[in-house]
Formats: sequence, structure tokens, C-alpha cells
Amino acid sequence: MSQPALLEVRNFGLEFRTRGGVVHALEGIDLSLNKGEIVGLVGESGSGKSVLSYALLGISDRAARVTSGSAMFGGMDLLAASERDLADLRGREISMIFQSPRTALNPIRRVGQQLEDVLRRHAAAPGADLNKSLKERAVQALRDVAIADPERRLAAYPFEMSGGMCQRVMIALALACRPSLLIADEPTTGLDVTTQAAVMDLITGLARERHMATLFITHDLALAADYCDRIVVMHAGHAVESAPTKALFAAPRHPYTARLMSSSPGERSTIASLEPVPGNLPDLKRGDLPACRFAERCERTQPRCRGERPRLEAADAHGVACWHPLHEAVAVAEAAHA
Amino acid sequence: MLESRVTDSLVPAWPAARGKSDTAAPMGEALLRVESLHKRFPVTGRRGAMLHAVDDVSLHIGAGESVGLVGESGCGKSTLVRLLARLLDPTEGRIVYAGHELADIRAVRFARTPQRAAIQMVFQDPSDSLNPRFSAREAIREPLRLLAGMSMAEADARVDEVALQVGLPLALLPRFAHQLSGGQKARVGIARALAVKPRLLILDEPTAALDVSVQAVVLQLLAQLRRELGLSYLFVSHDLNVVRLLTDRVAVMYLGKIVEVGPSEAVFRAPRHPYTQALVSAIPGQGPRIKLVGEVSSPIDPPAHVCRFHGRCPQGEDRCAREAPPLLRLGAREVACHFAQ
Repeated sequence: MSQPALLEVRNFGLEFRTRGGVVHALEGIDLSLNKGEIVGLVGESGSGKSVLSYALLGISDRAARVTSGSAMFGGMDLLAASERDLADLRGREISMIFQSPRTALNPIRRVGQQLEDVLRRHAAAPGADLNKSLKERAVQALRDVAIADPERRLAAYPFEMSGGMCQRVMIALALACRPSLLIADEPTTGLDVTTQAAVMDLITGLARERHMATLFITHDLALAADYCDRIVVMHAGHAVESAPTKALFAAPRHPYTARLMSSSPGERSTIASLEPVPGNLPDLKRGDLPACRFAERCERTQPRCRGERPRLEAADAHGVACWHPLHEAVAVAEAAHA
Repeated sequence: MLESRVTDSLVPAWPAARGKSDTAAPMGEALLRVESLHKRFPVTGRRGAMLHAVDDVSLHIGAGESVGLVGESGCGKSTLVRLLARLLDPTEGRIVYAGHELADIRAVRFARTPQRAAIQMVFQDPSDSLNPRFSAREAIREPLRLLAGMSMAEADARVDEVALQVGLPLALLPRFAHQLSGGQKARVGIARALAVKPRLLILDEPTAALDVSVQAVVLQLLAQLRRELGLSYLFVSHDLNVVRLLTDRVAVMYLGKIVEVGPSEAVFRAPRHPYTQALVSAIPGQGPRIKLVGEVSSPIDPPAHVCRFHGRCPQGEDRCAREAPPLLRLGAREVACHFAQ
């Protein structure tokens, strides 16, 4: 793989300065995304997956401070870029689909207006026919996400549409300018399983068709397994494991990943076979966080885990940030995940 | 850490109650029986138009039985739950709880009937359903004062008892909702429902707001409480894997109607109604999916002779548009489809 990655995050750290103290939200994150690749970023609430994606887009909370690292996207460091450059990039090169479309869409503007806003900002062709071409492109954007009768839907307000339909509009907005990187933050939370499947099919179908890299943020491992090429597992602001999907499910190496899998109800689980992850997320405001942030919840903890941070080697096909992993890396070809 | 220690000691062996089939629960023994229940809402701006939210639903829940209710949003499961919890008045039909007819008691008066304490509800998101100005103790105590008429001292003693039952450390009782974690809030919601010693618990997506690791703890707690207290559950969720784990039987709803009922394990392993088949195939981590095309038909004055699933159904034929299939018994299963084998 000599081709450079589309997005290359190196040793990224971020903290929030709050009245209650400094929250060490992210530490030493390495993450890379190739063109056309679909990567799942999986973790429980508080693991830092949304914080990371917001930081990449430069829309972090004001209290956020980048403490280390870089995030190269096509020769530009997103963490060092000016607001102006980022504003040009957002929506055109990097787009985001937010959780809960009902709150992310503007409730008092028609769907068509919202689509035209994006198109006008980023891709307006100069000329007298501006409004006409904008409308045509807005119709096309809705058609791309399989909304029936798109001409009529342009005049609809978000409250007039179902949850699944609103999420399709969000996707249309995000993809209207054909970005090369899409960040989808829990795009199906709150949707029914049947709608979830349709929305995920749509996102990943368009991603494959347009060769668009996708960072898919979710807490649902099984859903990530269905759609992602590779999965990165996060815990308490650390990336703890990164592997091709099949390899990860065939042999999870980080104790947290394994516990996450055994705590999720699946086809074969029984109520007794569920194994909750012991303990809670550590308080990220603590000054004495153990070097491995899972150390206090882990059955395999040794003194070294508390003193020296295990690193996830980005070069490894199946990387794990653990001094005492569960398995050695298994070759992908042997991995058999049902 | 305290939380995890408490829960570790609670992890139960799966109760032997599992596999109690619905055929073994004759109608006479049902704790709750619903017959031909209807709820129609008038549609604003359209004179005479009615939205059929719940349409001719019959269902029973045996003593100690756990029944799941699944379906897409808008299918009427929340309306059904609100009818059964007697927060809404039905348009027609009967709701019989332990021999008492409840459908005739107006919802506004139900709070003063003894059955109020017997049927309790655990709401979806404990962050929204707990009063932010109540401490955990006050939240759990309120129904004891209002429904059981206990003195302050009696109620406080019962709060301690039920908090221990649900694994909520007593030291957390003075805390307010915002000072509790998601799992702890879920425990408060469950304790509040259990405080007045109900026999039927209606659980409306009780773990939807929780992370998987916390969800696992709460599911195990619910399974254990049911076994220890001999409770009946009506478990509403759109997470089918969760429903399968916690219920003996499951009812599948589509557009106000029940389309399939049967033993949970069997329904998920071999669904018979085309809608259930599509629903089960959409669970992540399964094999190939059945893709539904078309829109859900309108619940406003639906034609009585057309199958509600017609138009979206992969198997639909002309007959489905002429004759709506009734819910028919097929062994341990009931299915509303002309083509169910």
C-alpha cells in the first residue's frame, strides 16, 4: 500500500478545560482512512468517538484544546487549518451526518432551501440560471437517496416527514457536493431495524459507488460488522484495537473488545451468557488516570498497565493497545466470521 | 465499582420458567386479557376521519409470563401500552385484569383504583421520566405515598427494601437524577415501579438509552426480579435480540394489528408472517436481508378488506387486496396471513 491514506491522524490528543477540571478526552489517537474505505469507530458513550469526529471538522466545543498530534487530509493539517479553509472543506470535501436528524435539520426551513444552501455555498455555478440549476441539483440529491417524488418533497418541512425520511434528507445534504470523506455519527440511532437497514444500505451503497471514504461512528458492534471493512474500538479516549472486521470478530485481542462482544445480545446469547463490562468508565478528569485506561476494569491487569501506556501500532493489520492481549494476531484469510 | 460488585452477585442462572409455552396458559388463567381492543383518534382538519392506532387487538398475559411486543414506530405499540397501563381510554373492547374489567374505568379515575398499583410501568428513558427535582428516594417513595397510602416511615422502609432488591446502593438514594449514571437511573425507574408490589410490569424500551455493557446488567436484573417476584412482563422494544432474551412469547404488530404471536424462540428462528420475516432478517449480524419496498400504508380509515401489509409485502397477491387475513392459530403460533404455512 504505497498510496498515501486519505486521512491520517497521528498521536492526536485533546482536552476540555471545564470548571470542574481538565477532562482528558482523547490521548494518542492514531487513525487512518484510505480512499473508498468504510471504517467503523465503535465505543460506548463517553469513549470519545464523537469528540474525535468533531475535532476533525473543526467544530469542537470552545473548551476544547488540542494537546498533541496532527490530522492530515489531502496535504492539509486539519488541526492547524484556519477557520476559513475549514469552512471551504466542510460540506464539500468532508461531510457529516449527525445523530437525530430531527434536531440537526433546521425546523423552519424547507428541505429544498436547506439543500440549496449547501449547494450555493460550495458548488454554485456562476450564471443567470443559478436558481434553476440549484433546484435541479437539489432534486437530484433527493433522488440519489431514494426519496419518492423529490420535486414535491423540496417544499416539505422536516416535521412533515418520518424519521427515516429525515435521515435520508440529512444524507442528501451531506452528499450533495460529493465529498471524499463522510463522517456518519450514529446515523441510525432511534430508527427501526428495517429503516436502519435501509439507511445503512443507502450510505454504504453510495460510498462504494462514489469511492468515498466513510468513518461510521456507532456503539453497535453488530451493525458495524455488517457494513465496515475495518473497525477501530475506542475506550475512554484511547483507540484500543484496530482490525479488519472479520479478524476482529474471529479473535478480538483487547479484553475490552471481547467484553463488549459478550455483553451484546446476539443470535445465540442467553440471559446468563451476557457478560457486562465490569466497573464504569474512569473519570477522565482524574489526575491519576492509569496509563492504560482500562486497567481498573480489566482482569488481566499487571503493574505495567498502570504505569506505561500500551500503544496501538498503526502499521499492524490487527493492532491492539494492550500489554497482555487475548490472542496473537490471526491472519485475515483464516478468519471465519459468520 | 460498587455497582459492579452488587450486580455480580445478582447474575442469575436462567430461570426454569423459560419455555413455558403459550398453549399451557389457558385463557382462564391469564392475569391480563385483552379482547378486541380498538383505539381510534379523530384526525384534526378532516371531519369524520379516524386514525386507527390499535385495531381489534386481542392478547393475554399469563401469571408470571413475559410477553414481548415488537413492531416499527407508528405501528401502535405505544398506544396499546398506554391503553393497558390505563393512561388512555379505549374506543372499544375489553381489558380484563385478574377478573376485573378495566376498560370501563376512565383513565383519569384509574389512579384511584386498586389495580393501579398492580399494573406498573417502567418508562423508556430514565433521564426524561424521573423528576429532576426529586432525589432517588423521593422518586421511589412517591407512588408508595400516593397509591399505597403509607406513612413517611413505612414508605422509607419500603424504599430501602426495594432499592436493595434492584441493586441500588442506599448511599445513592439522596442523589438527584443528574448525579446518577444511566444504569443507576434505570434502577431507580425499576425500583419506583416495583415499590407498590405490582404483578404486571409494562416495560417500554427499558434499555434503549443504555450502553450495551450497562444494558446487559439491567437485562439480567429484570430476568432475576421476574423469577424472584413471580412478575408478569409486557416487554416493548424494537431491539429484537433483547426481546428474544427476556420473553416467553412475542407479539408482532403492524399498523395497529397483531400479525403474529408465538413462543419467542420459535418466532425468531422461523417467522411465519412475511412482515416478521423481514423484521427478523433486518437484525444486524444475520444473513441476507429481505428488503421491503414501498411505504407503510396510511393508518387513517384503512379499508377493512385489505391486508395492512399489502403493497409492501413480498408475497402479496390480489386476494390480499380483497380479503384481509384474520389472525389464525397454527400450532403454538397465531399468524394473520393467507400464505402462512
